[in-house]
Formats: sequence, C-alpha cells, structure tokens
Amino acid sequence: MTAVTEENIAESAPTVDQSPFRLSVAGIVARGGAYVALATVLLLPALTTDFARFCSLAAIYAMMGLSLNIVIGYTGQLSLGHQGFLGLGALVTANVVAQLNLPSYVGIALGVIATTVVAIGLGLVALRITGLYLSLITLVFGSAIASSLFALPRFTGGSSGVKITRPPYLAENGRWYLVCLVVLLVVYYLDWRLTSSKTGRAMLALKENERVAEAFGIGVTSYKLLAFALSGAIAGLAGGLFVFRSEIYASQDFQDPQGFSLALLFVVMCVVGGLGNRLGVVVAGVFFGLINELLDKLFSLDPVMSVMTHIPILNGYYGPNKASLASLIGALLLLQTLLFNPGGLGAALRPLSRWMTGHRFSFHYAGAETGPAAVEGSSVRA
Amino acid sequence: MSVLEVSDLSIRFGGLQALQDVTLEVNEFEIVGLIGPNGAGKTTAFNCITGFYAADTGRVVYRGQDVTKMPPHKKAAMGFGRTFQNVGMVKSSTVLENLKTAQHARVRYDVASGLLGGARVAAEERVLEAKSDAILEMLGLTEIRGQRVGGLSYGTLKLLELGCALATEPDILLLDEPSSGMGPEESHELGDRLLALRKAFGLTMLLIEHHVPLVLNVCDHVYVLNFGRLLAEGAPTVIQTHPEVVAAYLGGEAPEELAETHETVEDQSLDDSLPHEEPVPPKPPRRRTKATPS
Repeated sequence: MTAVTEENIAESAPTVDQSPFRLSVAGIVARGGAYVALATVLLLPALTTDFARFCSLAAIYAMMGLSLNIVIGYTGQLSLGHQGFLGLGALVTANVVAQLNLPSYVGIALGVIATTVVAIGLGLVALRITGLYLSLITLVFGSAIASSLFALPRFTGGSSGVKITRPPYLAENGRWYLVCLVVLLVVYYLDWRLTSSKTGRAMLALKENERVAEAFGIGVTSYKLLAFALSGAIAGLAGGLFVFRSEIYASQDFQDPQGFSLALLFVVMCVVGGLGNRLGVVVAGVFFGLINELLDKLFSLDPVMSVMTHIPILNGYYGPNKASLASLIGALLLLQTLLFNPGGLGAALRPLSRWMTGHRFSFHYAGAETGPAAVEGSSVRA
Repeated sequence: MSVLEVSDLSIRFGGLQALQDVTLEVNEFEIVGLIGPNGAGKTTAFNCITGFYAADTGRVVYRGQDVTKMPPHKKAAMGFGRTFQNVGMVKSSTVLENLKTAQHARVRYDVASGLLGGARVAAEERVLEAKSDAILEMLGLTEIRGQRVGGLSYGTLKLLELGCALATEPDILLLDEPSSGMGPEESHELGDRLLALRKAFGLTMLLIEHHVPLVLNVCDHVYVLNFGRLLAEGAPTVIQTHPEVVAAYLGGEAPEELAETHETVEDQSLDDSLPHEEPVPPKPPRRRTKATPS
C-alpha cells in the first residue's frame, strides 16, 4: 500500500501551512497505524468471494467517478453520457476477447483506445458548444450509442450476451478485486499528478475563464480535448474491468433505461463526493457501488426485516424494489449535499485527509472556507 | 526597432465600427499609453492585438513577424503579457497556484511526464514556485501567498494580476487599466513600480489608462482613441492640452466642467464622472466555517 502513502504525503505540497508543524514520533506512529488500517480495509475483501465481486464494482464506480470528475470537476463541462464510455469499453473488450480470441489485456487496451477516440470526438463538439447544450449533446450521445451500437446483436450477443472468461490465475473474484484495486490506485495517482502538474492548472484556469487561460499561454483547445481523452480512457478502462468482473457482456446493462440511470448515478456520485475532489469522488463511488449489497445485507437481518414488513411505506421498498430505494438514497444525498454541504464528502473528509497527509488535525485551516471546489461545487456550469 | 507595429486595424461588430484604421507603434523599452473615453475601443484594440478578436483588416507585427492571425495563447508564449480590465485570474485557486498557472508556457516538461511525475518534474515545479515567490516578494504580497484569490480586495487583485502577467515572462506587457480601483496614492506607487519593472526586466509596455497623472508620469508617448478612430498622438504633455482630446472627453458641451477639470487635472481621473467598475466585494463567509487568522 505504499502507493497511497506516498501520493498522499506529497499531496500536502499545494496547500500552504501557515504555522510550522513537525510530526512527532507519536504522530507518525498514529498516522502509520491509520494507513495500515486503511490498507487492511482495502485488502480484506480480496479474501472473500461474493463480497469481492461487489467491491470490484465499487472500485469500477470509483474510477468512473474520477473519469467524470475530470470533465465536470476540472474543466466544468457537465457530461450526461458517461455510461456510453463505460459500455463502449466493455463492448469492445468483450468482443475483442470473445470473437478475436485475443488475450484479456489486449481486449482492455483496445477498449481504452476505442473510448478515447470517441471521447475526443465528443471533445471536438465541446470545443464549439458549452454549458447546457453540451450537456444535452452528451445526453443524446449516451442514448444514441445505447440504441445503436449497444443494440446490435452482432456485438452484444443478443439476449445471451457475450461470454468471456478471465485468465485462470485471475479466476477468483478476490484476485480480480485486487486487479481493480490496483488499477484504481494507479488512476488515483495519475489524477493526483494531473492536478499537481501544469495540466491540472491549465484545466482549472480554462474552466473559470478561457480568456485568462489563453492570456497565460494555455492552449484551450488542446487541454479541453485532453480532458475528454483522459476521461474517456479511464472510463474505457473501467468498462474493461467491468465486463471481466461479470465475465459476460449483457446488453441490457448499458441500454436505456439502465444506461441512463447509470449516467445519472455517475453525476450524482461526483456531486455528492464533491466536484473536483478526488478523494470525495472515490468515496462516493465506493458507496454507490456497494449500496445495493449493503441494503441486501441490511434486509437479511431479521430485526430489520420484521420492521420493514410491518411498516406499510417501507414495505414497498423491500425485496425486488431495493434498487429504487438506492436511487432514493442517492437523491436524498444529492439534496443534502447541494443544500448543506456544497463541498461534498471530500470537504467533509478534508480534516481527516489533511491529518493523514501529515498536517495538524484541525477543522479550521487556511483555505477552509473555500475548499478545492466548495464554492464551485454548488454551481455546475450548465 | 519597434517591438509592436499595428497598422490599419479595423473591426466591426454588427452595426458598430469598433475600430477604424487604427495605427500605432510601440518601440523597444517604451511605455505607450492608449487613452480615450469609455467605449472608444481601447480594450477592443487590445483584444485584436493579443489575438482574442480577429480583426477585419489590418496587421499586427511583432518584432518584424506578422502575428495578426496568431491565437492568443501562442502570442502569450511569444512574449505578449496582458492584464484584463476586470481582473483576469483563477479565482478559486490560491495566489501561488495562479502565479504557477501563469508560467504555463515556460514549463518545459510535457503533459505525459507531468502525469507520470518524477524528480525532474518535481524539480521544475520547485523552480516555478521559487519564481512565484520572487514575484510575490517584489510586489510585497508574500503574506497572501496561500490565500484564495476570490477573497482578495480589488486593489490587491490588480497588483497580483500584474504579477501574473510578469510570471508569463513577457517581452511586451499590455495593461488594461492597471490603476482602476486604486486611490491617487496607490496609483502613484503603481507608476513608480511600472518604471522600475521596465528597468528591471527590460519591458516594453502598452497601457490603457484613465488616470492622467499616471499617464503623464510613466508614458513616453500617448495615443488617443475616440469612437474607434485615432484622434491624436504625441507626448503626454502635448496630448493633455490638445483641444480635440479635451473636447472628446467632455463631449464639448460642458464649459463649467471643463474649467473644473483643468484645475484638478493633477489628481483626478479624466472620466471620474463616468461610471466605474465596482470593486469586487469579498465573498461572504461560508456557513459553519470560520476564517482562521494566519
């Protein structure tokens, strides 16, 4: 788990500490303990079988959150068609592996390339259209790809789907979870690098004011395209992992209405996590990836079930309708975030993440009023 | 040799001829003023020169090279530094981040190595930071280094914006009303600062300015725009008493105001009677958070 430690420690660089603060031995031990605990929590699901499947989904959702965050959080364009990228990555990967008999990593790589190309195409549109109309176009993109490419039996395998298998050494769900976790950590690292290099600064500048960005010598065109390309590549990667997780490409996964609710879920994830806030978005992604499983576990408890079956309103949400309970929870969290906590989960977790990265623990610090996206979080430019 | 040569620049917005055959020249190491009443086309001229607007006709030549059609970010990389009338900065970022963003074109590592990280990128980031710190120290803004730009006062913003323009390592600096939002005292200081900067960095400057004492103090040459046309040009002292210029500013129909302006011209901006940009008020504190005094 060294990757997490290093990147988080380095993350302390951009924020300026006003008062000098040196870690004591006890402080180092406490933080080390916290990292060990975090690593344990992240690694434990690898030992399970069924739960690991859900945790893989959580990691994939977290990647989708990071992918969408680049477009919404960093460059300020609302995309409502991101499930299209996820589905495209999954579709290409599944077909390359099943129909061309190529190895799994080739399938995933081609999936990434295909989504990147399509994302750049969408980025070219974004150069000319912004705001509400761009959102509309991404929405149309999502539903168009769902009703065209994702509806062709030639690629989707009809109702039986496209079956693929993982390589034998990754056949166990726990192993595949580890793959997803490692990929997520790599994407997280790249995202951190993005924001702490000139690229991230350029994206933030063009999000706020394209003219200022240009006056600073930033090529707005290329950085917008780059944002879409990176976002598409990550989504395509997530798609490849997704299809190998279930070992089948099932066409209904990405066709509407399923597809559209996925697109909405990704946006909700980003906002609840905190736009532009990597950690918050990942946490929100994990939460929404696991929510169905958590509800399942909750309802399998006898006392909870007896309560649920006896309260008429809650009764309707039990069993087959638990998916609607999940989206209800999503909606409530979204409202809660927009009304009371525009910085999202990321802002709420910030005291903790600052402590983990070697700062003094404090709820109030320089820049606390406006976290990375505390203000912007509440006003997506649409 | 002239650094910037603008010839016959014209641009039309629908029915409005915003610029008509504007010709001006900025020589090496010169500070040239561009003045004129509100709506005369000064900022439009800036936008055409820096590439934000495509002029209908005319040429912009920078050190012998035709840059008329060059996009603004390439011009910035070539050495065109500019500031904006209503402060151009990334408001949600910190002061330091803004200065680092402004050095974008000077960063030598490419996007991919930036993403991968490593010692070379880290070393260069440290250089960017050191340069930013040097600029902050020069402007006396070191203590606001870690603050968010959005919460700063208007005068500080204008000064910081000048710092950001300097961070782009310009050869020619185009300043759009650098003294707006400043009092007479502050704008006097600004004048000294501009002269010092020219000396320190060998800068050439073109500035839009309303504050007459500042123009008199720093400018070597002044161009006057009115209704998109060049009305007059010459040394600042000549321009000051040019009858057409005085008429253009006052509309030629307010004799008592004319007398008043002549009396107070030393410390009054010519268009003080005209509406000014309101200073940006600091954002109200967010709920449930307290500002920490640093």
